[in-house]
Amino acid sequence: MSTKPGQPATWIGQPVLRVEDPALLTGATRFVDDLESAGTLHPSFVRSSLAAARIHGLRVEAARRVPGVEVVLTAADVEGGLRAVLNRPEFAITTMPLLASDAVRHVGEPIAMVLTESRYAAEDGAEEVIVDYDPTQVVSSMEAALAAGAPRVHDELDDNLLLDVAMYDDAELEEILSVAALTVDATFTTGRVTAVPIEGRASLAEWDRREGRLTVYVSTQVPHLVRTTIADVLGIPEDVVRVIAPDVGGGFGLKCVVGREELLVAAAALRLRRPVKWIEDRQENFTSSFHGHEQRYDVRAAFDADGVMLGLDANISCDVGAYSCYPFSCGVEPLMAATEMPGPYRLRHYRARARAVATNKAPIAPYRGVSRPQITLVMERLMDIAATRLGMDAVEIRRRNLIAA
Amino acid sequence: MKPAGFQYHRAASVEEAIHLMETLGEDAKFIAGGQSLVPMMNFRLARPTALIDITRIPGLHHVKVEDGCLRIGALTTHQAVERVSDPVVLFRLLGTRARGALDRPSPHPHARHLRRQSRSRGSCRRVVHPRTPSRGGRRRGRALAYAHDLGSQLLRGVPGDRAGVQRDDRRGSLPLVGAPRLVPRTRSPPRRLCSRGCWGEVGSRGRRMPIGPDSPRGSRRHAGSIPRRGGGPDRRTIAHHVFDDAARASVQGLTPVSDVHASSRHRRRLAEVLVCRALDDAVGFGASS
Repeated sequence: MSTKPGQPATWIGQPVLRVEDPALLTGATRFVDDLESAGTLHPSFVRSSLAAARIHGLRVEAARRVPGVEVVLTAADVEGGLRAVLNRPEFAITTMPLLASDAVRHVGEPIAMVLTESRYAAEDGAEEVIVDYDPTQVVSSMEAALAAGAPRVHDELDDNLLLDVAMYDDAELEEILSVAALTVDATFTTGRVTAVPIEGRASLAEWDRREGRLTVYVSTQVPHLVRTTIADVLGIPEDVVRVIAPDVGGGFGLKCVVGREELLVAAAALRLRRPVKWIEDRQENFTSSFHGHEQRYDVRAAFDADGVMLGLDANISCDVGAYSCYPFSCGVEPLMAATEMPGPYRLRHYRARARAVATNKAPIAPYRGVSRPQITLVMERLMDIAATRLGMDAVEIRRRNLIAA
Repeated sequence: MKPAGFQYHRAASVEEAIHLMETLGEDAKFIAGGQSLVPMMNFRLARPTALIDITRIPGLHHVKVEDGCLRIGALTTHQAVERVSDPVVLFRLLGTRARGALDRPSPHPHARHLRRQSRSRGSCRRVVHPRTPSRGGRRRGRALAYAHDLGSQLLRGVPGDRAGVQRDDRRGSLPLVGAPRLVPRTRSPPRRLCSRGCWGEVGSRGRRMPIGPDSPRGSRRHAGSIPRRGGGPDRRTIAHHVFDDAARASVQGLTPVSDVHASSRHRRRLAEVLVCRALDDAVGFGASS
């Protein structure tokens, strides 16, 4: 910080030294996988190979006979789930079970947990678990999810809308759209992505017998949130749980929510009184972690002859996958998109409908940017299209619409 | 992503590697760089019962010109080939006198393969250069890709050493049946300026389906685990408008396997498309080099 005599201290314009570089460059960092206690158990998750199915049988006897396998946990052993809540009447609450028992709703959903002292043996054991599926119709897109008579991802709901919010309605907007010098109708879609940090999700939980406390090392962006969630789900006091976030090899939003696997590791350590460590591999990272950014925007924008945007009607749909991420819920993308859509532009009349659509895909998390890349694309393309149709310069039309200082 | 259990053997010589393969059977695999095999094993899509590590076999790491031929050891890595500094070797490899020519189309199939899929630990063991007689009694190098094995330059052929390769070369094709054989090196005689080559390859998880018509005079391709020599056109000049017909003719009699990766019909059609593209490429390379 600059502290020149006679001048106020300021960070502005000052070089800021990075404090983490020496450790990163000399290999002195400590990630979760660098930690291990004697007797640590390594889990391998039996994951759904189907996007949608009912489970009418789970056979684990063969897995228990695999050399090295010590424990196989199923939903009968670890009950409960995550229920994200959003304080809106339009939000439908769903439960994301820690381990699926009666149905699976996306490929990669955890069904059982095989624990051994070797990850190799754990994967050998996981291969021997037999899941009897009754495949059901897959909802693979938002269009399929919203179609009349579409199969429901969650039987307890009336449809596949986990959130349907009408925001910023404007009584004058329809008339403005109908009489404007230029009206642009457009649809924009973006594809599903996942974060792919170099260090995937990772968790090590161990029960400290002397202190009577569960210590959890987890690669996370939100250690306090992890602690609260572990305590809530496992039904133990929060002060019995200590969460430590060591060096984190990338998060990008993927690690600002709490996943089922981190909770299962904690639950297994608490139940077995043994250290349990799970390091997400790349296959799990692609198929079973949180995704994001699969969105569709149907927009109508009105411009006057000078290129000034008079109004915007945005219908926003986000494919949020099978469940609501915890704790932010599946509302994070559609609500962020609707509230921040205008961006740097002055917008006099604005209406938005924001929907979170359930499909048989991995759930979404607030992946970096959370809808800002999409809404920026939408607004900037609207400006480009309007400029072309009005014969204006692309920079000039933006200048005329920017919020004035 | 941990592989299923397997035995590990390290061969000290080509003879030992062959003996191990014969002893361990069909489910064993050679491993050299392992850059394709190991990920497949980690996904448990490949489950060899045994791996025979051939990386410690001496004398298989070289790129040199000897007796007028370019010689590439089976364990020579892509990185080593890329870093060849001898201008004579580079000329043989790329078929051009221009340095830095890895960025340019090359008539040499092996160089093209490297450019498309160059990996620091990838080895050159997949490409074999049997020699075939040509008109006027001169022998020309022909390239034939054989990607059955992910870990070594292994042919499912008659047992033999280099001499065996020479005998088979006279037939103009690789041996196709019998016990396994490790080909320790590849040889590529100098190419005439008029020769034109190309390389096409499609990978699937279980097998690769390369095609390698190295000259408009003929074509070779396989669609499955067994390499086949094409019975297609053998003419001095092929024009664009006949490439489709030539490709159709070249897959006559080809009956690739059907498995979970692709149907026989799909593979056959794929070979036809790739032969057509390869012929097109060959003409293009000739024009640019």
